[in-house]
Amino acid sequence: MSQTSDISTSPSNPLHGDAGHGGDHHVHDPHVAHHFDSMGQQVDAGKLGMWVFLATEILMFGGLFCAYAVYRGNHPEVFAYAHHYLDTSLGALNTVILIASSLTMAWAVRCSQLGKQRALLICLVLTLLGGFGFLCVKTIEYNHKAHTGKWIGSANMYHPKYVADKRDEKGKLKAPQEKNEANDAKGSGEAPVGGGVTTPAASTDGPDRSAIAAPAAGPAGVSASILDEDHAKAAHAAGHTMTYEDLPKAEQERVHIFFQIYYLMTGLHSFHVILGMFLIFWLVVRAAKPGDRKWIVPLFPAAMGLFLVYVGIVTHSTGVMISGVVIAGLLGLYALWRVRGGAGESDQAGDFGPTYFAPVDIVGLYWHLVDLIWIFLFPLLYLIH
Amino acid sequence: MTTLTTPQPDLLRAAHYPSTGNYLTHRKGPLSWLITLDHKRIGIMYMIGVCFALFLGGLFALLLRTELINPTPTFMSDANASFNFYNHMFTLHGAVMVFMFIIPAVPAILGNFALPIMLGAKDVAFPRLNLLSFYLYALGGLFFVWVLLAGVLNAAFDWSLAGGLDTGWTFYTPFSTGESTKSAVIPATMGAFILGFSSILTGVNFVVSIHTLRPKGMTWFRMPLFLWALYGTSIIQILATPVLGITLLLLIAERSLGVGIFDPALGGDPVLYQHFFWFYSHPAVYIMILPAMGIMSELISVFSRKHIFGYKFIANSSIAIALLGFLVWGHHMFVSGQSSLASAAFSLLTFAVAIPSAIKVFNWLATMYKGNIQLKTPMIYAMFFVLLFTVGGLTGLFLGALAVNVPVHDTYFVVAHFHYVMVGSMMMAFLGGMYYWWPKMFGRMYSEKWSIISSIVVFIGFNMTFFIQFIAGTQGMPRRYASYPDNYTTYHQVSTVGAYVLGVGMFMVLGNWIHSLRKGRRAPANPWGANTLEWHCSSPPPLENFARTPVADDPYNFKHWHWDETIGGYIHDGKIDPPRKGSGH
Repeated sequence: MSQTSDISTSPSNPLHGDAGHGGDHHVHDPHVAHHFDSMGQQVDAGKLGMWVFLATEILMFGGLFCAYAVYRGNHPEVFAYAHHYLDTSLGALNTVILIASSLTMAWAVRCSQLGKQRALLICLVLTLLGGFGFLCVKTIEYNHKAHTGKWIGSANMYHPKYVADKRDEKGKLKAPQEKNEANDAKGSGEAPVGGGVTTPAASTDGPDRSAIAAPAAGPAGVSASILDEDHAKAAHAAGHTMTYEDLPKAEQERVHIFFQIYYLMTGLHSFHVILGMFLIFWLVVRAAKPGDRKWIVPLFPAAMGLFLVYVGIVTHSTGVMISGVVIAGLLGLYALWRVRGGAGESDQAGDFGPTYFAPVDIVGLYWHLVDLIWIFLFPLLYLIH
Repeated sequence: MTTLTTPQPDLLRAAHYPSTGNYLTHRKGPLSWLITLDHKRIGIMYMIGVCFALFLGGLFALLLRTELINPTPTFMSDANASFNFYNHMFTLHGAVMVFMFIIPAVPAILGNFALPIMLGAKDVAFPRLNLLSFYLYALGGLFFVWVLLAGVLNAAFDWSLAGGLDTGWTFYTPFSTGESTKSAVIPATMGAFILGFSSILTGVNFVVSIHTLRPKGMTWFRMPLFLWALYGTSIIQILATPVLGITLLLLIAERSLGVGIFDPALGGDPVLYQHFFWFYSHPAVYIMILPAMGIMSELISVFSRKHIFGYKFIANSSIAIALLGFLVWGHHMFVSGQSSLASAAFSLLTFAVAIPSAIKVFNWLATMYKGNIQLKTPMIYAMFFVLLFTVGGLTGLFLGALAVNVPVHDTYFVVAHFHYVMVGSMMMAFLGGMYYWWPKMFGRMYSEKWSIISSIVVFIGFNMTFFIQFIAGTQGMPRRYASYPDNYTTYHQVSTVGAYVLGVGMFMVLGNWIHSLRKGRRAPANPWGANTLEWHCSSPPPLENFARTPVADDPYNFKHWHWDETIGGYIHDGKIDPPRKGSGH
């Protein structure tokens, strides 16, 4: 077993082609996995691996883009009508956030190449904050729709099963905020567009009904509702009036499909954002000085806890809020304790430098793809004319 | 020697590459297998899993054939005289065989084992990813076991809560989104999704390995053709499988949330599901057959003792099949209501795929022509392959023709056709490949006599089962029915007896392998006189395959290997030819 120490350099990390740190190979660079001949070969392999993986990601989203194209091609009115419910300014804000985070990511790659340890860390943390910012905005958007009866699946008021499940849905959707909104809409007295939009005949019943009146499932004559308010806003924004009733009957029943596609696409995309944030945090840990890693590691889950608190506040969900507080609090305290308990003053630098920056590069590629997909999603979903 | 009791971090790192023994013996104990990063061990673990899947799928097939021995219900109808259990069985037979046997068999077992050695490399490019893909395979398999148990509980105890899976392996909507007792649809689709991920990761690994790990002297056109085939396969795995992934996710969303994208009652389009599904599943047919074709190119050249004929044509036809395979999915949907223009285009493209496939067949035959053919077990399977693939491929052309497809659509003709391709071709190639690399994998030879006898039993059983189904199909016997009019009885009975013969043959193969492991004589480094790099290292190979990266020669130049009676294998005379003219870039 005398050779064990010779060959114990850990093989490459899956996907990223980097070597695990801490190998003690005395011939090669410790960052080169044993089965590669050289750093160049390893970097090539890692990069090619990520590009190939990105191809699979594009194909995966490709299925959704294809579904989008089919439904938009066959039912353009549905898309023209329903997209007004999306908030263009929030979408634009998210676009800006993501592009900015792509900039900081690219900057991070440059910093690692130049060996600027501190700037690298700052750029990575900024990128991470961009990810959190994106999720925060997305939470507002999703929450608003969920509380106005435009949630995914049969919780969407245009869904044919929505009426049938009304009692259940009512219970779910009767959140305090929604009442206020409904009242506001009423109070604002905004005139319903298109001569008092009577909402969908079969699936008319917005969740607001529970707050307003009419316990029976009477379809007709819902006037001052969130639906109308949104119509007004939407029509105003678009500079023309397109109402639910302008849609052919067959298309009316398909309005919910737009929302389903919206949620599936943005949901899958958000999932990728979260995955990318984990990867970037992994970079943060590796870019930090080894002595600092012990208190940095609990910070990310703590930040996730803070995010949960935010989600709890936005959605008025006490449970989520409390669990977020608990997670953030415990892990934050733990991090604090680790900082205090012997701040190991090692002068060792982080892992990345001019000779070894492939992981930053490769995670960067992934992050740019996530950004790029959003850049397609934003106009396709929000900016339909 | 450290004892292997608890997984320690340094053990995880160091355990994989110590210095002594071959890859089978350098470390002992289950843990040393479960955390191994060695591509050869991962290949062996896949072999166990895949063979178990083959056993299960085969068992389901035998149950189905037994039910079909009579026109009337035989044993599968339940208390309500419904054939739910029969439906579960053909669904699981298809799903388990496709997702857990045919797709992973050659790439994950033989590819994992042979690809890095053929490249003269120590391992695949991403060893941890490789292990992850194995565990994803195992996890996906567990989902199918869950589905199986649900179906059994449902049938045995009439426990409708357990459900079962009776959608057919294609999970067509609206079968799979309907309200009936199909509570196992979500676990089954989750299983297929996870297995798809496993397949993608293998593909990524192979593409990157072939691009970056080739040794000196191995230009693209001096790669063994098995690697070309695996490369084409990996392209399909990478580009097609994610589409299956998103399709299955949409199906799960459809069932759990009711999003309605595939449900006409909710304004959706069920044919869109079929397009998505076949956009993956037709290329997946080439995931199944391409690596088998790669094995063929190796076997036929080696056992004809002759340089492969038309190397570049075979190599390029692998890529052509991989790419054309993406353009023919609509031929599964000729009766789905797609436009007749689309059907005609898909029909034409389907014929186009036949061209590269035929190029391969002609080149194999030309390789055998005037060769010094040695009828060893792998070669016998190779010859079965050529015959059966020709039958399977040509009947594919019948089905690709619109006028023939419509009357025989969803009949036993289709069943017979794809079994000729998947069992007759792919499984024959898999068995041939297993026999070919067996001495390298385990360092043991097998009984040539019994392996040849078992191969003949398999061949007879297979043809008896499926050839008659062509006739039954043209007579109008539809697939997926548990009972049938009396006039089909003879066809079904012959087919059922054939299935038993095939089953016996497969157990003979298994017995032969087990006997070889226990009693087989030690294998020489190169029992076949092949010249790809894996035959340049010992049998079984040492842990890291090669002490230093070898220089690759023309893989089909057998001139320097000479038979040596004393070791029962071939020995290289040490000379290296200058590169063949025109074999460079």
